[in-house]
Amino acid sequence: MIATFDRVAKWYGSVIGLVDATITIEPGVTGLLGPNGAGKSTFLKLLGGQIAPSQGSVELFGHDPCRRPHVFRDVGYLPEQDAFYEDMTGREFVIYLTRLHGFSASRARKLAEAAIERVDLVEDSKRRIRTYSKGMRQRIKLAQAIAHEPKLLILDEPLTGMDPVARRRIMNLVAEQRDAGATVIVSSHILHEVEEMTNRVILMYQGRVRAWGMRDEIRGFLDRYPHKVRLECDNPRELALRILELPGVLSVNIEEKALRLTTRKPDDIYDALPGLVLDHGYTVDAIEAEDVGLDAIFRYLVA
Amino acid sequence: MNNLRGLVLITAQSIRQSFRGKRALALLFVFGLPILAAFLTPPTRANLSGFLSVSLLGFAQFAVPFAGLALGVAVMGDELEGRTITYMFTRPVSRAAVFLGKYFGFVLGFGVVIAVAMYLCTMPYDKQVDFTKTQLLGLMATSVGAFAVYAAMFAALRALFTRALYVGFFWIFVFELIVSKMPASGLTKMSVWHHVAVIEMGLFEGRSFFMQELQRGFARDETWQGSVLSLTVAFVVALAFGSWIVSRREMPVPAAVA
Repeated sequence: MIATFDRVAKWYGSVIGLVDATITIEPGVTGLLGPNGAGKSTFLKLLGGQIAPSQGSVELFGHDPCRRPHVFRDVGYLPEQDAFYEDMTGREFVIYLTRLHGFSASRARKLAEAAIERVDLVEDSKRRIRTYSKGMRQRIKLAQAIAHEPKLLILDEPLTGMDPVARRRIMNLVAEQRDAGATVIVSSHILHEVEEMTNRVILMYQGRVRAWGMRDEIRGFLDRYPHKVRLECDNPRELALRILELPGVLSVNIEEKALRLTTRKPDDIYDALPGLVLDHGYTVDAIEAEDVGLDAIFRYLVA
Repeated sequence: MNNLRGLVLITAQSIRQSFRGKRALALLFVFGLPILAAFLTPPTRANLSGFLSVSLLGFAQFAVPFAGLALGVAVMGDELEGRTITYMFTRPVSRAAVFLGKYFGFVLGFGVVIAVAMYLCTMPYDKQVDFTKTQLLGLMATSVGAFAVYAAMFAALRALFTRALYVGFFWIFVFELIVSKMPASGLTKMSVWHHVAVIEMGLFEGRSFFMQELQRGFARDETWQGSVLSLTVAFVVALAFGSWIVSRREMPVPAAVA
């Protein structure tokens, strides 16, 4: 088991940080999603052992991260805050923090150099961190998190302040970590960023975990919100009549070369469409499920 | 990660850190003042009393506690206010090792500066006082020891609450100053400076000019050994308490200033 939250609650005085969170983190990439103030940072701080739960228990590799620092041997942590030992060079920074994982000086140097290369900061690694741009600072933070080849990588808002090229690079790096067998937890308040990295999400809002699991599964549980499907076709009017005969279809809106329908049983639509197309000779150019994206799921969950 | 190895790494890093920034410059200035006073006062027999009160006692009563306070609160304060504590607390090193590593780094780094500064303070008066090696080493060790005790106390206080600096200023420049003028009592024995003075008295036993200056406010039964023991106990208790606090309490990282 990588990490578990068992009925965890956290209060800061009278302010709620997290309420009744029960979650198991599975191997692979998990996106932690929610607007600012949703409780994402509290969640990650609890996981990183920086704060203790007010109620319930958090376990990382089977141990309490607050009491057993040895669990961090296999953890890489990228904090949200823009904080550094500003007088150090990027290289010194990564080597120092890698050495604290128990590596010899020479091994730590090699690991640090490899990590710096992966975040594409070799040329600037001998400059003091205080001279770094926002994107470079974010990348050197990432280098210290991955240098010791952790089994669990916790990334708190890793794409903040990065240009599109650097964002893409980080997303690729997350994928590489996943392919190498590491578990990655990545938090963001930008839905499409997470959507590009993973299908497994934890959706948070106002200190509560609203849903967690695979995106499609979560959408499947939201029965009271009919699914929206858009079909691009040559004869939308006729196709609409056929589709209205299918069970579960609630409404159909006809457009010039497309139709939008809402249904409680989207799978029935997908099953019936090939038959309709073959029997009646319609041409369907595209089928798009319109509200399976995270933004739609999130909207439904917090509604 | 072996905690001892982590402690040594953090100590080495802290030594480098202790000499960086405006704080280091301010401390070097504070230590420069008693040295300057010693060099500017004409080194005559008649000036010995002035030398004692300005250089030696000024050094022990102001410069050393000031350095102990500034660096003590920085042990956890630097990491917390710089919000770098997250890097430390997400490594396989115990929090006590982080606390002690930072502490020993600062104390070792500036301990050398204090020892040298103390030696420089005595230099102009060496001929008049005719310091023995034991006395010189004793003075240096006492200053470094007092610095270590102050730093341990204030490091533990900073681990306990944010406004330790204000409490420290009150302690050094109000409480210790007042009790240094009071007759011997349980209260005076709570002052670190009191014990420093008792140890310095012990170093110069039989040297009448030192005794006159130092013996005000001390009980007759006080010995330098007793004061060494008191300071040692304070040192150990402060470090143990600080380590315990850091291990048990949450260390909230302050929010970033926009």
